[in-house]
Amino acid sequence: MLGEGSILAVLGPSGSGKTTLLQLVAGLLVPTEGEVRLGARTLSRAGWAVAPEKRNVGLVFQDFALWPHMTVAETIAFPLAMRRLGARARAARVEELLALVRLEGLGQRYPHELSGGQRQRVAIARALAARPGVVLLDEPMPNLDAQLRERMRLEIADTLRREGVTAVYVTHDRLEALSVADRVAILDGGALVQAGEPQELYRRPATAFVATFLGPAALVPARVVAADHTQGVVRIVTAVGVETEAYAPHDACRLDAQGFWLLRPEHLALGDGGEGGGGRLAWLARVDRCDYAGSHWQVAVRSPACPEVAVVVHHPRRVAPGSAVWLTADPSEAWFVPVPAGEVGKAGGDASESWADETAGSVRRGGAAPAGRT
Amino acid sequence: MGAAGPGPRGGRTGIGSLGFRALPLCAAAVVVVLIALPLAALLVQAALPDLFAAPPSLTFSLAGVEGLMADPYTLAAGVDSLLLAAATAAAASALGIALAYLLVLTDMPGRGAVWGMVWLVFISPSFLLAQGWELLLAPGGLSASLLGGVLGRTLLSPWGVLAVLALKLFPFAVLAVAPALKGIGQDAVHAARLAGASWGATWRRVLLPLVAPAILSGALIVFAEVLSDFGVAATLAQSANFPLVTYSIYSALEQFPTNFPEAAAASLLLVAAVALAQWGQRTATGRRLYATRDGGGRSLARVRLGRGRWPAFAACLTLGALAFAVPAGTTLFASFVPTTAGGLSPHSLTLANYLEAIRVPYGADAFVRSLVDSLAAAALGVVLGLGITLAWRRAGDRLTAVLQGLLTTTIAVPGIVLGAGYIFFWDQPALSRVGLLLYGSPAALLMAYVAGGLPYAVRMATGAVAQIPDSAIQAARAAGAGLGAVVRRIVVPMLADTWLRIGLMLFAGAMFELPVSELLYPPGAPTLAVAIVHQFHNTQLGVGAALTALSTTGVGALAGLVLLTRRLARPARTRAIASAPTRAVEVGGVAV
Repeated sequence: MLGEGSILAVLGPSGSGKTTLLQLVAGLLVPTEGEVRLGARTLSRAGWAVAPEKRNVGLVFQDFALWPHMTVAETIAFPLAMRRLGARARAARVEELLALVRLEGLGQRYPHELSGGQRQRVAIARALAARPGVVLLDEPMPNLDAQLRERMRLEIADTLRREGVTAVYVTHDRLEALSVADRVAILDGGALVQAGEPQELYRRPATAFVATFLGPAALVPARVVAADHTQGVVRIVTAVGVETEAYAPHDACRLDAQGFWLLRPEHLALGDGGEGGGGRLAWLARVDRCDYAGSHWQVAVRSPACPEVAVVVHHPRRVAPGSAVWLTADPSEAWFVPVPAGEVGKAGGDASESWADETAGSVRRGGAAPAGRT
Repeated sequence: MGAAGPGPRGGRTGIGSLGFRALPLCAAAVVVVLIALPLAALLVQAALPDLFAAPPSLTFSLAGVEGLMADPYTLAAGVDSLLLAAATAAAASALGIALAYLLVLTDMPGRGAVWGMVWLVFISPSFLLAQGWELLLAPGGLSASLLGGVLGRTLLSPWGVLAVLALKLFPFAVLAVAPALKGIGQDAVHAARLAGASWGATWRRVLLPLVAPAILSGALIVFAEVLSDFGVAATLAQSANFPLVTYSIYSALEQFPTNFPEAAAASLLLVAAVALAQWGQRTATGRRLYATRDGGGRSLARVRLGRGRWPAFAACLTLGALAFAVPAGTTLFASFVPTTAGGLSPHSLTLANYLEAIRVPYGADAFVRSLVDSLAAAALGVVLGLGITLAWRRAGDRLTAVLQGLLTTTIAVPGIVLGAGYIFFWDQPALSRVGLLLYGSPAALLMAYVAGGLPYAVRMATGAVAQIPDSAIQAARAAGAGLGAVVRRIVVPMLADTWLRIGLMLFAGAMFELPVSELLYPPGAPTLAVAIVHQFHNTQLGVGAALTALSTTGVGALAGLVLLTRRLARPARTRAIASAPTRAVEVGGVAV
């Protein structure tokens, strides 16, 4: 369910069903099961759908779908003409929208006389013209260059919020989704994997897929050795030899639950001199590669105890590949990503049994309990 | 905009209105009444000659075919037509390949003018060009008066017919081969050269195989066009005593009593031969007409002709002169020359032919009648073409698939066969009981014009409508537009240039249409083309030439006025529509 005036980003890889979902909401496809409701009004249900022209839904297309034979003003006025709005009211609304999308004075231009960003603004204005119940945006950025995309991303969000419209924004770009939306829904293979606020999904992903889709992440196999179901806190033993407390979904708060310890670069650092210190967890690793990324070096390290997992940490200086380093992690943000029951074998399996037997010298067990739930 | 149907996770939203559901049925009715019934009624008589007799009989008999084979005239006509078609295909292809090469791959000057010449020849009605040659070569023609008839004795022969047809039809080969040459990427050549191939080996092993399907396609189109042609068959070939199968069908229909079984048999064999050629053309090209450049690579660099630049241009101009300027110029000149008992007498000039052309019973009247009929046929053709295209856009039922196939196949049906079908079908006694005995009425002629042009109109409209992105239609629907508003506000204006092109094509085609007109013109009301041909048959060569000059000038001026008006009326909007990305559209199997 999407709240009025909020922006929902639907995020997922190609073929995950994002556009299909949008077409179902727009009435361009008829569902085989389920319902689409706008307020109290049912727009679609299994085998039936209100025609698109009767839904009052705005749609912004990936290719903008501007009509080459209509000027900017005519394009924006089109939905108003279809609703039989008088000429004066139409003109006033068109001027209002031209000001909203910063295209004043360009009303008589044709699409081929506009830049990519201007065409996108016309498409948005057209979608907003008839004050729709919901605006759907189908990956509106791919046809723009990177710089323009960044500028337009924020502009679109501002425009939608100024108009106070409810919007569904489909994208495969996580940065767009995280920065534009009030809520994010992740799709994979046609199924909804997780939905929630952007920060929630980023810090507390429900699955390994969500974790890696939303940003750089290393997933270290781990197993629950103690659980507090009421607090949503577990104690995990990890494949790199570190033991820590971590937050976890309630259904993962059970003994011997298998999953991953989520490590994001911003929670990691290379320790000086080998110790964690300040409550940080630490373990020994070897540098696999070191790549320059402008503001930092991306150092990929592998633990001898878990060589199949490469953990990436951002460091201000270059570190020679092959060097032995101490990798430290902030335990306050520790999150345990459970593995679905059918995929248990992939969560470390036999390797987890041997963790405790690994050389103790390579392990520093941190002790700080995770900070109160955020 | 489609009919409801299952999809991967649901179905397309149907419009749901009664009007839209009825659209495919209306489209089916149009195709059946205009095309399927008349053709079927004629062709079935090749095997069931007594099907429409009183009383009807289902007796199977190949008497019509046997009669054809036994008649030395029709047998000769069939063999002549096939040989002529093959030879013309070869000759036109050779001309077309050379011209396409010069236009696309060399720095020959005046390429724009040469392209204009190619298009001018392409759109010129064949019988008008043939008559121009007749005016030059016939015993009473200009060459007899000026050069003692040596040209006539040489060229008024099967070889002359071949030459005239090759000169008329080489644009098909150019239009087929040029895109193929343009589509060859430079990387293909570079890869061959870097692998050690010489220029000759590169052409033989890389370039020609890439272009071969297009060459074959062009040749097969020419082959089919020659078989279907009536304009040259009825004029120059007759003068050359060179019988062709389209004229033999006409002769069978002009007999009394009309020999429908033989006409049907000849029509069936002709349609089969043309359809086979068209099927071969489609198979040769497959889904792609030409090799495309992948990854945005550049096309072949133009060859510098050096000192050969201007001679190449001169050769193209000569071709243009032979193909168009000579017959057109002859016609124009002959229109100012008095006609005597011995033929054209070019020793003085006169305007008498023009006065006579306007005054003759069938001169100006025929022009006005044809103008009205052609405008009506064009308007009807555009509306029906658009309606059928929209009706069939998403329809997936079997009836629609069959009718689509029929419409495509109809392109293979020569005009003379369509006319024969109309004579037969719309003259059935049973129809008189319901007041539909249309044979001999203007309605039958108009219907036949529309039927002849409809397959091309639908084909062009389908190609054009396919260019409209789905998102443009969906955007309109999301903005509140129903089917009517989508068609009125989006489809029609977005493709304004296409409708204009279709309309002009149908108009020009009907204006100078000959075979159907010869068979179906109402008594005492001949069409323009029929009136012109009758003048020539009555040895009124000068008057015929004047009528030709007047009508082509009038039609050209009208078309030019329409195009100019369009360009001047809303120039910004015209530019905007032209700026929308488009894909190539086919006419008769050739990308235009």
